[in-house]
Amino acid sequence: MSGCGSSPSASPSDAGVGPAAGVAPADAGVADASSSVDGGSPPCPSPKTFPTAEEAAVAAMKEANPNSVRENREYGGWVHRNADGTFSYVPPVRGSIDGLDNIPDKGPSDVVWYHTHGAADPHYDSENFSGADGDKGYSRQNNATGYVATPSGAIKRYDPATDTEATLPDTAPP
Amino acid sequence: MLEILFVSLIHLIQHPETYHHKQVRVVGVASLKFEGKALYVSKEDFDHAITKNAVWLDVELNDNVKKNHGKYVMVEGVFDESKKGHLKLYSGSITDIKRIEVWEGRDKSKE
Repeated sequence: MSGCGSSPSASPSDAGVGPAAGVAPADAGVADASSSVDGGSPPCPSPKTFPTAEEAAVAAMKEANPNSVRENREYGGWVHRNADGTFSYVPPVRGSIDGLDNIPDKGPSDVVWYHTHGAADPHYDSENFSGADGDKGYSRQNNATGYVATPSGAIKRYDPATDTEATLPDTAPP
Repeated sequence: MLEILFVSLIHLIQHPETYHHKQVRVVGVASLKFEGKALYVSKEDFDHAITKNAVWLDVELNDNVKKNHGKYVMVEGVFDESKKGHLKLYSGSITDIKRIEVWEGRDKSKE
């Protein structure tokens, strides 16, 4: 995980540092997406912990997708492994209508990445991962599984090791 | 009058600091699709998604723009070395794009 909270405007509340630690269910309320940042240092990690990286990624996307669809902006970030073997996510950064050029670089404890695709648009294939020149290429370069929450609320996983996609049973309603 | 630098995309990628925030005109292969709006140095780079041999194109996708997907085009806009495009996969961006036009190759029938 890379350094966090060095933004001049960062504060315990707007950096996503919530009240409760401990294992939280994936659908628990979390810091709203206004805690995201538009660049600079990534925000401090959420104190919520999850037993698996996938559960952390799903929780992050459930949190971000409503704002992503409403604003038609992409959101995304990384999930990292904690010292105790649990997983947490950093609040997502807010990107553009069809890109995420401010995602923090992968840190040493980051394991998977997640993002959302904004609102449905007839010009965009936003229900799917982008290819080798986008989402899948990024997963391959970082050797990290990627997740996407789509405008319809579907959650998909891409595994670069096997070059396979799967749609998860869980959803991230817009 | 504002100077527009007609430069090689290769040189632009190799010397980004030289062209940062400058008005440029470059030729390359356009990728114009969701999360993949870019100008590649060559068809080979485009076909193999060598995104570091490309710059991000900050342009709104519509049918008129998308029709140029996969074609050699000339692009005119402002280069920004700090914006790396979707997931920072690219070697800078071209913003404030004024022109995207198909770049006609040599007429081989006349050679």
